[in-house]
Amino acid sequence: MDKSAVYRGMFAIGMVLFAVSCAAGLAFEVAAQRRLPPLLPSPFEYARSLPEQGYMDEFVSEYRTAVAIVPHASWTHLQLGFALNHAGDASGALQAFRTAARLDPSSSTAHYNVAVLLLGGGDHKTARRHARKAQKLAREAGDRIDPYLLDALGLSVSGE
Amino acid sequence: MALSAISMGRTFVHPAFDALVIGGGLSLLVAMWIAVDGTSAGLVMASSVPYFLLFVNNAHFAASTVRLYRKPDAFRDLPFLTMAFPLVTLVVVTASIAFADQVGRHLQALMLTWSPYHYCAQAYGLAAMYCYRSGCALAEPERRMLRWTCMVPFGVAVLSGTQAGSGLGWFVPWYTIAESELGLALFRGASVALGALAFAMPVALFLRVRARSRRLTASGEPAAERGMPLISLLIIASNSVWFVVFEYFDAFAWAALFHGLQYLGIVTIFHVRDRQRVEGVRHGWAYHTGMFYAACVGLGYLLWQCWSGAYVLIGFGRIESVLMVATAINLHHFITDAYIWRLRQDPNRTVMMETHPGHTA
Repeated sequence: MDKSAVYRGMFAIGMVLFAVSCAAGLAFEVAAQRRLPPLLPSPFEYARSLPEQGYMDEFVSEYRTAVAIVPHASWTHLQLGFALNHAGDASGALQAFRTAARLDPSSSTAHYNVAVLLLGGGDHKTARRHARKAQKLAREAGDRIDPYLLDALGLSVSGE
Repeated sequence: MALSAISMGRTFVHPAFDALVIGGGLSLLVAMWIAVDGTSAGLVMASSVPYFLLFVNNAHFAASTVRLYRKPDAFRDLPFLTMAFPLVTLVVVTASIAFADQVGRHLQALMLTWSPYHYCAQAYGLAAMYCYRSGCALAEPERRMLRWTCMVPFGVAVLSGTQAGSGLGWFVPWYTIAESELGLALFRGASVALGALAFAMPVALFLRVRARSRRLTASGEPAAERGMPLISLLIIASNSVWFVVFEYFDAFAWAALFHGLQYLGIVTIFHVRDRQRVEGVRHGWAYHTGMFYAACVGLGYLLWQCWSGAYVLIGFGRIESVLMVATAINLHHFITDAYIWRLRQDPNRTVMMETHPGHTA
């Protein structure tokens, strides 16, 4: 078959599919949100709204997808940890925060959340180690962590 | 002396417009504003983000496609890109959404790694274009040095993306570096060295070209042998500022915004000059500019705000739909862009070298 005829056929199919996709996408967004799609569509903002609508499984599933797409980044595991914790899965959240801390050992937020969940689970010794690490990293970044966690673990706010 | 005098170069619209929009000077002014009064600058920038995205960033992604289809003889010269590639993109984006954890994650990492390369390649292309346009004929070693100079910020981004899972982090997880003291020291040393090179190399190149031009002037060579124009230096320096001065995610936001503005500026100039050459004086530059920009904003809105909704409608998750559509739009833009700026035997060359109505400062 003539190569240019194949190209022309592909062009026609591509344009029709794209036009139909955009029209269907626009109609779907308008019907679902009762307004034009926002100028700044954030899939994570959308995911965060799911629990209010009662979609807890979908809420966690969205963050699992984010981890699948960006598996080597600490921030996706952090987000999954927050989602699992919000959904009441403390052990899953702990695992996600631990992965986040492993992927980025300089993440104060990851160590802090590991410490919080370990404290809740009664493992004070390991919680103290992560809290100290979080405190040190936060101080290096010119920040500080929640003093209530340090107090609960018997650590001084000054880090001494 | 006049030949080797420092000059802004032969600009397309006006020295101020070219320097601020195409040279990236506006990004440096905004950076200074943030440094001086971060609170008010931050408030204005934050509230403007959706509008910047729609009218600059999204429009710039669409601009390469609009330019492709409005370029004279594009269907004849680029049959695969113009006719087959849209369907290929649709198939790839659908496959990457359906298999987000196998295909999608690698496409996402490829896009995040390719982005800084694309920005640096644009800086190289624009810097070289202003050199040739301004009568600064770069010798082959200087052209190679210009390319390497422009690519240094890409090296910075490859390293700084490691923690976010792109660049080096696509292959080497950050913890494998962070867990080893030697690995961490090497990583930090390389980052600092590349950061320093990103600013030292443009200056070295500028001085080298200037020294050659002065030698040629002294030996009575033709007047066309001028030094490197300042706008070329500005283009390289602003690209270096985006990737070296800012943190990884800030760098991406910064580069995406001002690269988009830079891109819209130059692509609109080329489009308008092409249309005026093809159509004569039937319509003025304002008409062509307005029509081209409206098409870019409209297509940008469809691509970024509407397209992913179709995948959610047929049952895919929101996150993979939005992320993979965004990835596909980026990759399509990078590939299209590599073809539409070719200069050899192309109308682009005529626009680049034409003398009217450019300005020399």
